[in-house]
Amino acid sequence: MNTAKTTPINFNGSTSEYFGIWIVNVLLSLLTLGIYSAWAKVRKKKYFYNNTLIDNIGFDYHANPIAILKGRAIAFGFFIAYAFSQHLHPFLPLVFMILFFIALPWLVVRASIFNARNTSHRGLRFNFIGKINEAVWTFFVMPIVSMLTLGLGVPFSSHQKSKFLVGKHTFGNTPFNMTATVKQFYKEYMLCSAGILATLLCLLVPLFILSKEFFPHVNIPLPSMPHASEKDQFAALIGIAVAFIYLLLFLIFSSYLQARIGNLVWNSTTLNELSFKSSLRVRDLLWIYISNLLAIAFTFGLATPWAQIRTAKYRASKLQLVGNIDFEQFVGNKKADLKAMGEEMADMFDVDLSFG
Amino acid sequence: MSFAAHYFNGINAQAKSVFVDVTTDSEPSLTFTVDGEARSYPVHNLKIQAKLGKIKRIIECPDGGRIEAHDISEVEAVLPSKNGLFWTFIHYIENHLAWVVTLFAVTVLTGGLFLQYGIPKLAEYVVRMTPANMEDQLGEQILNSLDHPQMGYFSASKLQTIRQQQITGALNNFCQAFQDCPQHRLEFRVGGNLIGANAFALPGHIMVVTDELVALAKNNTEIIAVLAHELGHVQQRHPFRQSLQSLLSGLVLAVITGDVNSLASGLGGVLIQMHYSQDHETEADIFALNALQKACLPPKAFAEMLLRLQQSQAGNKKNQNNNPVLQQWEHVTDKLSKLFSTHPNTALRIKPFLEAESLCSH
Ligand SMILES: [Zn+2]
Repeated sequence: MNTAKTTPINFNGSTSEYFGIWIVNVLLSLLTLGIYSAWAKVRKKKYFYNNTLIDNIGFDYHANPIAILKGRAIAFGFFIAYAFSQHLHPFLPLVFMILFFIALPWLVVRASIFNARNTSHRGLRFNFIGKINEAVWTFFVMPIVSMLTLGLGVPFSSHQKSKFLVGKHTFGNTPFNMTATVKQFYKEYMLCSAGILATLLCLLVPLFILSKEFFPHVNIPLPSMPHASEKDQFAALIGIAVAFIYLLLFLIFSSYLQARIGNLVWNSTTLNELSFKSSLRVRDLLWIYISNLLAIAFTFGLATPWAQIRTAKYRASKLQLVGNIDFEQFVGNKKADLKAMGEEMADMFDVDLSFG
Repeated sequence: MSFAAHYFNGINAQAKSVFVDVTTDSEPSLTFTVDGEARSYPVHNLKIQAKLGKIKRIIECPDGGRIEAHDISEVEAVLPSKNGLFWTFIHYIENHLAWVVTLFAVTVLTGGLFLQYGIPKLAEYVVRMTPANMEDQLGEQILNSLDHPQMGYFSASKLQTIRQQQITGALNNFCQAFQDCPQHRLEFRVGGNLIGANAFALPGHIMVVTDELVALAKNNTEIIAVLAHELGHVQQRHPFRQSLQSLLSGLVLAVITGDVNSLASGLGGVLIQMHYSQDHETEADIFALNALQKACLPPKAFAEMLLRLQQSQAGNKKNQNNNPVLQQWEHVTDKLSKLFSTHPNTALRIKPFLEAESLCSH
């Protein structure tokens, strides 16, 4: 068995350099009441994309800030309408939610197309060729199935989602292909559920014993409502503990799924003869997320650029390309065709509806 | 002059190493040879991406090609000098801490000035542009949300209908004598723990007086005196202007923090606890004094009622809780609120009412 050639992905961004970009983005966005935020997004994305290098060549982000601004204005208007709808009629927010759920497949397709077509590597654009009916299956039917099966359908739904989102992307005209099976997804989700259950037991049993043993006698003065009885104080303590456990479980759960499902998806994805090797580790991600959260909280947000850079660095360091890369084989459309494609989009859809 | 670069033709992903010549004759252009084929692009046809961190400089060609190089100073040398000036400036700020600090100071200052002066001006403009029936609808909605049991502000008045009619009648008599009352509607509510003895003007010409205030007043004249002040707010459309102001500042904060929900749910509460600016209070006081004099009611009734209201509110606050931590906290906030109080000093405020001469002969 011959070992295939691997090519690392390097992330070259630095915190000191990005800090300046980040803070200028924040301040100018504030000064312009959010208008600059569209240009800020492009600048940030360009910084991260261009510093992500394969064989010393970076990615690039080409979105038109005006398209992003339009998208943000629409989203903001929608949220304002949603927030005030409850004053007009108590059922209106629910109507809004249902409308959003129905529109979700379309939104996902538009956002994926926008992001893919505005991303390039070595002068070649990515593209997204997923169809709306496939999106309806993945983002409308699947969630309903998951709900009706009380969660048993979640791994299947997650498989369909990855297959759709990864498999419908192309680099130039070359499609990505994801071959992970439904069975593999079920295995990962089952391991994850078992892990969560074990953590829950480890945390709750001692807490339960502790509360029985000590709390009737402990009286901690909490700044609570007047006439707060000991019972209320106990309830407040339990509430804080539950919130912490909830946050911790959430972090463990998402780190686990991101690492394990991420590895599964990347390791079973090919682009022509190229394949990928992803080796994210759950504990690394968990540590990164927890320390990021703490650092950002204790620095009133100033640690945000540091957190973003180190996360990008870690993720890039854990992904490699496997196989001989012959970049000549990847072919895209001529600029004229791209332009036609762009104009079709510009007609009504050149709006960034993605989040973040 | 020439520089080393990677060229991508936009058709396949292969990087081609090239040496780009910068020609500086009448028409500056870039020329290079790739795959044995010579290419030449006039500089004004190229899109030169703005400088960003230490990433490679990127030049986009009109045919979809792309040139990436570490240093393109030779190209920049032949560009018109004002090309991309804004982004050069941004790049400079991003890399100089002193400028970042300056920008920070400018942001804080501008933000403060905008909230302090810009928003009231904006609100005034919007008030003038809004038709009256829209204001009425808003007032109705606000009163409804304040009446909602879950909000815990108002509950239905326990005053006898006869007593309510007496007060409404007294107000009507007052308006007939004064002749310049704005359109208004009087509502009675129980203020409860949260509000106590008080009177408010809401958008849409609505005035609310609480049972507690009615109980606190020694006679109807004192109630009318307070309502005369509220009528001053109604006439100047202060409640509507103030709610627009808090709405607009809320919107600004929502844009900054991305938290739209808190903004909508808090509107009613904001209105009840809001304080008018000193100017607004003075305007309402002047209106009240003038109206009381014209209607032949003693202006000092307003002064006496105001003092009694203040005493009741102060007493109310002290009785509200027994928790030492919270009392300490309230002591601090009390001091702070006195420091930044928007209410004119009470003694100063009631002075004109005490000194006013009766214009009536009887
Ligand atoms: Zn007032």
